[in-house]
Amino acid sequence: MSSWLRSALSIAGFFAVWEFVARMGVVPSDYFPTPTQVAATLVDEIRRGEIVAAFLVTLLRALVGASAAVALAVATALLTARYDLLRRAFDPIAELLRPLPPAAITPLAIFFLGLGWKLYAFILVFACFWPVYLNAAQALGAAPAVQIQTARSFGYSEWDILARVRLPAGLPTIFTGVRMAASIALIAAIAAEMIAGRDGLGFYLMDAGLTLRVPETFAGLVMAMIAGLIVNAIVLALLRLAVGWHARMAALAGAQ
Amino acid sequence: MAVLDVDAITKSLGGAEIIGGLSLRAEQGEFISVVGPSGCGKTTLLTCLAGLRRPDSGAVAFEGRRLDGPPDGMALIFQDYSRSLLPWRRNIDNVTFGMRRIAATTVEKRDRAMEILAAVGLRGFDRHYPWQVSGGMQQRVAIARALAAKPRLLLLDEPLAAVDAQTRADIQDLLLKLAAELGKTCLLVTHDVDEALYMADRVIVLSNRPTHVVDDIRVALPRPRDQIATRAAPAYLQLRERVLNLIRAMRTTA
Ligand SMILES: Nc1ncnc2c1ncn2[C@@H]1O[C@H](COP(=O)(O)OP(=O)(O)OP(=O)(O)O)[C@@H](O)[C@H]1O
Ligand SMILES: [Mg+2]
Repeated sequence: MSSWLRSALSIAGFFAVWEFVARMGVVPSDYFPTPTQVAATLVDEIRRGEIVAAFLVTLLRALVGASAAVALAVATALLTARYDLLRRAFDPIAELLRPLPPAAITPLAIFFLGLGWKLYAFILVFACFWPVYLNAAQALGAAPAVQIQTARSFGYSEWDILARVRLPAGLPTIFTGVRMAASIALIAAIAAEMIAGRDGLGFYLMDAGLTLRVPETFAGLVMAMIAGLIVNAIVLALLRLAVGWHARMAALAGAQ
Repeated sequence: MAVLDVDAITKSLGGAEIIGGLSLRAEQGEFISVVGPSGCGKTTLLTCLAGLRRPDSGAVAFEGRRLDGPPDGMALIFQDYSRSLLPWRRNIDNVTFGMRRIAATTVEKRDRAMEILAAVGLRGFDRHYPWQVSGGMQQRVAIARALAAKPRLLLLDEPLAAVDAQTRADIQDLLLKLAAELGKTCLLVTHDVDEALYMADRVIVLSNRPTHVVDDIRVALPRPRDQIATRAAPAYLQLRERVLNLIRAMRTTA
């Protein structure tokens, strides 16, 4: 049996149990709709368009925010890897700021940045920056010494070595951070939208929840799930493109 | 003028004196083997000769010019080939990685890389990644990459310590053939006294730390060398005994 089919069966089973439990009436049906009810609501909502707009806004925010954070974090790590002084100056600041939960700084960020794109840019970049930076800083310093000495002996400059040896050697580890950032991005975008309360899936969910439109809340969850799957698929595609060699090398080593 | 002229260099690492006033010269086209007790500082010496480390005192001159960094015209081959090759690059791209200082178009570089790969016996493996081929083949890729830089001096740090006996003999003969054909000067660090004698015109024996030259032995065996005949020659066996005695004496005093 293919793994595809197995996953499909398992998901179908999940929905069947959900349908059964909901119809049993253990929880009042107003609060716990059946999958068929949710599906019907979802179709209605998609026709009305509001949920689609909210979905697209959130997905775009997560993707743009995560991409900006990755670019910024890798650039910062390249600089701190190149200049030891910069690293020693930056690392204590990193230790201080890193543990701050993004949701905790949202109210203050709204005060300074308003409710527009600047707010989301700040929250998302702040939330996604750390896992990428920490992985990248570690990875860029971990390239084997023989690779670096070989490159030096061939006449590569320290910048060349950063770009052509340390960065490619570190990419598999950097991608660990990118995957974390991608999942954090969606969480942070939805949390910020809930607090900011203007648009996006976070607002949609909050609004539906507070006005007790339960099937709509479930429909919002389904859309959030789809957004998560899309983000994950994009990261996996990039991973295969950028460090496919690493997975194949590991698979070969595992097979021996 | 000597290709390499090392004049009384010293080097300490982490407070310990590793190299203690070491001098040696290599003439154009010579094949020199360096043997010495393990941990005596052979790799440290090679990194100093390659301009990767600066000696604390003394001087290294390459082709008459004092070193201040890795010079054009030298290439290094490490023991640890599986780590010195870049696993995200195919074999051919690992070879062109050595051509940083070569002025040529990308196409010309690839053509030359293909020729060099064929010369080291890797025709048909250019599209493979290093981790897809055997250890001996990986070391051949590392040799090809070093040759790609068109070095006049090759520094080899125990390049064959990790491969099986048959592969070692094959690559020894390949190195001798390439060095002779291309007129390269070679400096080979090895643990293996038999390998040192088989390959070299001169064998330099190093002391324990702080290391310096204990003996400099001319190996006047005919070339081309032959894995069976050379190793059976009486002159070879005498030299072998001499070097082994030197090393044993150092073991007991260490
Ligand atoms: N960066 C360093 N700091 C301090 N000590 C070092 C450093 N690098 C090497 N050493 C020490 O210097 C000595 C010589 O090291 P080196 O690798 O040059 O010896 P070697 O002769 O090549 O050894 P081997 O026979 O194992 O290849 C060793 O005792 C090692 O522990
Ligand atoms: Mg060594």
